[in-house]
Amino acid sequence: VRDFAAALSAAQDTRDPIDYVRRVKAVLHDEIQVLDPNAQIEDTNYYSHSAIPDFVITWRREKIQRSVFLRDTLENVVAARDAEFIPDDSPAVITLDSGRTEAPVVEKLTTQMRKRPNALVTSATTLDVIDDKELAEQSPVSELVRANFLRGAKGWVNSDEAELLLNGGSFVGGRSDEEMQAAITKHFQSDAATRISRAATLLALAGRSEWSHDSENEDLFSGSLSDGELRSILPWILKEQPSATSGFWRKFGAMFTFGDLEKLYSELKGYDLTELLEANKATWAAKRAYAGLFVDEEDPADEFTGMQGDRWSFHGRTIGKTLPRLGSRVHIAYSGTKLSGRGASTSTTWEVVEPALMAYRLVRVELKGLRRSVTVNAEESDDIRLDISEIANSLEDTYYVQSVTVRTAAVDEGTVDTQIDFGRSLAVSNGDSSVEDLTRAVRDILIRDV
Amino acid sequence: MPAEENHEIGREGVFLFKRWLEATTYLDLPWHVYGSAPHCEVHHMGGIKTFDLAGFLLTEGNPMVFVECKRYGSVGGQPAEFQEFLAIAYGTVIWENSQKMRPKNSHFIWATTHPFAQSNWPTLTSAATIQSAAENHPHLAGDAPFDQQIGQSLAERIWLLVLSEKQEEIMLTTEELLTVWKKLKRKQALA
Repeated sequence: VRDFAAALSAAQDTRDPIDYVRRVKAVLHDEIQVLDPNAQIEDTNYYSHSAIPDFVITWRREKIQRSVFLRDTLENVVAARDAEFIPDDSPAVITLDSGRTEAPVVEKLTTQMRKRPNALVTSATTLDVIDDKELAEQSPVSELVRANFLRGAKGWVNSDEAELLLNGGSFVGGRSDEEMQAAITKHFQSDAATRISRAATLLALAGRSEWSHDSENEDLFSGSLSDGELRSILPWILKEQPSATSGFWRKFGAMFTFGDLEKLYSELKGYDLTELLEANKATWAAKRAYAGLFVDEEDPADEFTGMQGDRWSFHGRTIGKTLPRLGSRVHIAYSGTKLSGRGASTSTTWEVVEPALMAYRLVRVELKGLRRSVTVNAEESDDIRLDISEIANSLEDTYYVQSVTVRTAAVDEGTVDTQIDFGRSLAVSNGDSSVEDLTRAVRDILIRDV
Repeated sequence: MPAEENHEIGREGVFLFKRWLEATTYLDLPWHVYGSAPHCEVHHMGGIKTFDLAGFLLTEGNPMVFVECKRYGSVGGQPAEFQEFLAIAYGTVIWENSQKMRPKNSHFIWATTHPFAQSNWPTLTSAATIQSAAENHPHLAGDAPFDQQIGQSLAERIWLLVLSEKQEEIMLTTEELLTVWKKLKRKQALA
């Protein structure tokens, strides 16, 4: 599909100079927008001026901008010494030709560009290659190459190099493509190069069947992933690399938070997140959990319907663990505002709950009787369990357990208190609980599979 | 008439003139003979002339402007070539009239790195000099009697500019131009 080339050629087919400028700039404007939907493009009303750009591109909420200079041929870019005279802030020069030229011209261009190391010189034909969606959708790396091209590419990029950049992204498995890595470093400014190379390495690591000491100590794992990176990389790995090791998932999961994961509810709909969650549940923080019913037929679109094992997945916008054997699902939320809990009130007796609490450090128990309510705090009681048993067994009233609060280790350091509200089927922590502790508390105490 | 392609003065020279003229902020010269020759063409009474540069003068009405660039180290053939240049400029207006076209009122710039005909310098762009050039080159200007009114009007649109290459050192730099161009508001959206 070469729509851009055809549109450009049609736009140039006029002898009216004003019409020519208007038509050519409209086609380029559209192409830039297609390549980078987040670009905000300002038309300066100049065309091919030696100093004033044709377009100035900015990006929402970001300070960076890129001036775009349109030129007719690469040979003329060299003759005009554009690379020396264009401004110093990583401008982009786009020629309307194929950008193919003889070696001495390329040599001159390379020399001129030394003074503008972050400038991009490229051609309409190259944009056409970058615009090839089929190529770009081969892998997250190709997608990142495409998405970062106008914003972060540098040097002279012709159509061959563009194809290498896009095709290089199609490799899978443990093969590291050094040629492509070199091309990325050569053709992208450092921020973009880091992002793209990191995605390439992550994909390669995800494909390793064994997790080695070397893999464990890869430098890239010390960074964190942006929402955009996570959005393009994670679904791809889940789909294409089902054999990714738990070692990979653990290191990969450390590059983002459970909250970051929650944002991908539409991208990850229907995916089995069990390996990712199991590898990171001890270190990912969350604050709320809700015990809901699991009905096998509740989502016929879910490809896992009918599976018997416990598994993690999205249900609507929340991540949860489905426990088919117990007919339940534990919904977990990163923030304190999600999961409102159930409105209807249910109650349970101390006698029923107590065995489930044996493994927990009790901080507080709220009992509600017909005539009065009683709260017992561990700080005020020598033996909280005994005190509660005495009250609960008292003949003066019939008591039900309203809530219990248990104390567990927090994700980073210290402890965290989690209040289990029986009426609302909700567990709420006052700090960062681990996903694992919250899930276990809900399962043990609310669902009571002990 | 040989096109400017045959009158090679070097692309680099043409781009030097383009940078210099555009740095004045009063000119926008997107077209040049090496990449967009058809937009550098003008019709005169003897055919078509391709100038080195073409574009717009950023004054009222944004008239078109055509530039003949001469990167010479000596006088060379300029006295005779300049006469032809004037005859072509006049011939262009005559041709437009003959085609019943609306007057384009284009400007014509002779930009050189070396002066010539210094003894006549003050009158080189006068209506009288245009008349003499037109009458000496009827194959470019046509053979009808010289139209004084056209001559007077054209004289105001003929520019004779001399560039010393050392001037490049004191031209506004790209960075400086970028700080002022928006404030100057020379250019409006193309109509």
